[in-house]
Parts: sequence; C-alpha cells; structure tokens
Amino acid sequence: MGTARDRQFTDYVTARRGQLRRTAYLVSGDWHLAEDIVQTALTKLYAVWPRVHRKGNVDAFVRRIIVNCAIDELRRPWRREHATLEGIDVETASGLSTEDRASVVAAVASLPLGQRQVVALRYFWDLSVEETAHDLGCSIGNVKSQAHAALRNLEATLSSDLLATEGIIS
Amino acid sequence: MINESTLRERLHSELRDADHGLAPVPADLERGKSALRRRRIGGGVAAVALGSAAAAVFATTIGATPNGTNVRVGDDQFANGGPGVSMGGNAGSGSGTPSHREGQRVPGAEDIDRKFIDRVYAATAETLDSRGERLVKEFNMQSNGSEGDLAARGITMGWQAPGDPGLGMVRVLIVAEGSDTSMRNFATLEGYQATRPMPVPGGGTAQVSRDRSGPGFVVSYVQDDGERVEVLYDPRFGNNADTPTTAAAPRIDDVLELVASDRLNLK
Repeated sequence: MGTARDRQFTDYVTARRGQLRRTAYLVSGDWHLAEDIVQTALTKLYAVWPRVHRKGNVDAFVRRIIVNCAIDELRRPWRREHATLEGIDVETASGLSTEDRASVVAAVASLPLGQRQVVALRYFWDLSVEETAHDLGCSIGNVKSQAHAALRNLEATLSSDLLATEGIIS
Repeated sequence: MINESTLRERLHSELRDADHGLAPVPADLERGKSALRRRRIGGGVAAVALGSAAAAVFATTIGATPNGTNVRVGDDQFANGGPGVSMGGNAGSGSGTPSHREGQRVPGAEDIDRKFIDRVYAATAETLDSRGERLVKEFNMQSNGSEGDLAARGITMGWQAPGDPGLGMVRVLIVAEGSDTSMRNFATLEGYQATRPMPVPGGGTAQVSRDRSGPGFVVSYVQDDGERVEVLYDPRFGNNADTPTTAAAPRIDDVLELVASDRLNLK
C-alpha cells in the first residue's frame, strides 16, 4: 500500500480522526463545520507530513490548524448570518434549555470562542497552560484568564443538579 | 469551583456519545494527495514565473499574477518598491490624505483569492490593532507565482491614528517553503540594522531588523509548516502618502505574535 508517507499518514488519521473531529466540534459547535475543519487540517497535514512527522509534533500541528481554522470559518459572513423572527425574542447563549443545562458540551458551546478554544485544549486534550498558550499563539496569562472565565461561566450555566450529582463542582 | 478532572471526563464521554461521524480515511488521503499534486504541478509554473521576474529589473513594478499573467501597475506604490513581485490596488490618493476604499482588487488579477486577503487582514487587525484604531482596511496585494502554487503572497495595509494627516503601512508577506522570495526582493531596506533573533510566543525565533533612522522594522519567521512570514512596518506608505503617520508603531511583541499565527497561511 502506497508510500511510507501514505502509510504513516493513514495510521495517524485512523488513530486520531475522531479526537480531531470532536475537538473541532467543541470549538465550532457544529458537526458539519467540524468535519470541514478536520478535512482542511488533514489536507494541509498531508502536504507537510514528512517534516512534521520527523519533528514529532503532528498532534500540535493539527491542533493549531483546527482551533485557528475554526476562527476563520466562524467569521465568514455566511456563518454570521442569523435568521430572526420579528417580534420574537431570540434565545441567548446564556438561556440554555433545561436539557442543555444538563450537558457540559452544550454549556461549552455557549461560551465565547476564545474560552471554547481553551476548554478544548486544556480539558479535552489535557494540555498544560504552557502547551495551550503555544497552540493558540498567545500568552500564558491569557490562557489562565480565559480558562478561569470559562469555568466561571460553565458553573453559572450548568444546572445545580448536574453540578452536585455529577461531582463537577468541588 | 468546577472540578477540572470531572469536567475532562464529562467532555470525553458526552462527545464520544454524540459523535456518529464516519472516519473516511481513504478520502482524507486522496484529498491530501490531490492537493500535493496540484502544489507540485504549480511549482513548475511558478519557477518559470520567478525566473522571468528575476530577469526583469525595472524601475516600475512588474511580476506574475496568480494566473500567470504579467501585469504592470505603473509607479511603485510602496516604499522602496522593486521588481519580482506583482503589486496592485492603489492604496491611497497619493496626496498624503488617504481615501478609505475597502476591498480593492488587483488590476488584472481577478482570480486572486479574496479569502486570503480577509484572513490576513483579520489576523493582523486582531493582533496589532485589537482596539480597531490604527489599521486601515485598504490594501495593496503582492503575489509571486502561479495559480497552482504561489511562491509568495501578501497584502499591505494602512496604519494611521484618527485624524492623522499621514499614513504608514503594515505589509504582511507569506512565502512558500523553499522559495527565496523575500521582503528584500521588493524593499531595499537601506539603513536597516542587521537582523537579530527575538523569541516568538511558543518558543520559536524570529529575525528582527530595525530602521536606524526611524520606527520602521521588518520581522521574519519560519512557521512550523515551512512557510515564512514577514511583516514590515514603515511609518510612510510609499508613494501613497507624503506624510508619515503620527501613530505609534505596532508593538514588536504583537508583531512577533502575528508572524507565529497559524492563520497566516499561503493558501
């Protein structure tokens, strides 16, 4: 089967695709968009595979593309369009339904983009503050403040039942 | 306070349950191979375009557009402009009082990817001018190579303070791995100090050179994927402004963050 590049790339994608897609979803809040982002990231990855693989930082390379790609995608004009009905209030991010208030992922989706990026990298990829700052190309202080704000917002958003029964709050 | 360990477990379990997507690995592989083929085919064309450009040393700017067509755009619209890279889109009136036209296109290069411009502009604005007070959304565009594979591409944006009679510029150039195109191909950078290394966020090292007689500087950094990002700041926007801007120059720390941004990609 193919070249060493193809084999290595296929092995990597087989092992990591699910994790990458879930990361993209956590940041973008949309499975279709997440799929687009992952495809873009993997296409870029293949082009530079020998060098990135040799340096042993494949995960970091793809993670950076995904979290930053999400910014570009979400800022495209057609992504910003929201249909509204005159005279009817639009549900705000903080107004999650009872069902969503029992879902941590739904609560994360209600966070601002910067906080979602930090949650994805710190708590889904389990990266250190330093590694997260490196991936996002920002300062350690910025990561800390975004993480703190994210946890505070999640605590305010999730239902008290969930926080208590699931041990999410300590 | 939220228990971080439990939060991690919940995220993993909820996402695992919710993700019913397939893992089309063969499709990923094919997309990657197709992109690489396009890149290699385009590379040959780009090399021809580069060779032609190198032979053409004109006082005016001439170069290859992404569709491989040479375009002449008249007098140099940039400070220290030179050959080898096509430039287009008059960024100012030339009177020192810039007009604020948005989204100008490069003459003869209608197929240039507008998304590239938007992406580079957005990354630059957020990093260098988060308060939205300095960066002017009018631009010139530079490109070198062909549609299949660009050797380099960049945009030049205005930089000024509110009410400022002058106009400075911020130029962002992204260069393909292996290409020798550089800011120095079209900016003489006379009077600049020798480059010195400075750390970028994340641990890499950029090369920084400052103008000995003013606040101008150029920063160059090779990203993980091999593409080189160069950012030039000049307090006077070439021939588009007689008067230098009175605005403070972008912070060098912000520029170091910008050159390391993964949002700055050639494609």
